[in-house]
Amino acid sequence: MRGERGWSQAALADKLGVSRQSINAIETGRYDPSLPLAFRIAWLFETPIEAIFDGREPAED
Amino acid sequence: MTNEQATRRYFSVLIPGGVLFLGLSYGLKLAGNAALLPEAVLGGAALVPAALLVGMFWAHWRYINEIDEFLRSIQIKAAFVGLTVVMTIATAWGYVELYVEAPALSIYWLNPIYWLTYAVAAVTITRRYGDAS
Repeated sequence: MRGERGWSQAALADKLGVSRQSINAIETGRYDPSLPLAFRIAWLFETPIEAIFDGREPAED
Repeated sequence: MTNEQATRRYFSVLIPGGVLFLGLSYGLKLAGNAALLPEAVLGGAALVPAALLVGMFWAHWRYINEIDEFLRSIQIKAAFVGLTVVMTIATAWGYVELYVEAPALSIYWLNPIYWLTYAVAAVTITRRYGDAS
């Protein structure tokens, strides 16, 4: 989703007011964001929260 | 306040505080060995490093409250590692001293041990969870 908008991790981090490491950790499934941050992400992408976070574990490489 | 600003503010307290702690601790040891100061003055001066310690922990508390939730989780895990190491050393050494003729461990070493293990843990956890892509 981030890539579709042409945003870097740092750019998305700036928009959300978090660190680039946070975005990287969320994208790679190493960190589950709090509910307020998950909602901020959903609002930013104008997408329902469940479409971004479905609760499933990321697939193993 | 951004994470970068919070980090700079944290290190601006932590690094001088740590250097001062070590310097004062060494100075106190020299003063004590050479009997340069009256005992009461030495006792009072010995509390100064403890005040620095409180300042360093206060800076850490403020830092943890200022950074974002993911970085906060790393800091809390690292602090827990430091606490675990210090408590384990203190408890184990205490029992060893009690039952075996082991040399006494000066408990002021627990502070540097805490910060050292916390720092190593913070770097390790950040590399493991924060920076790997």
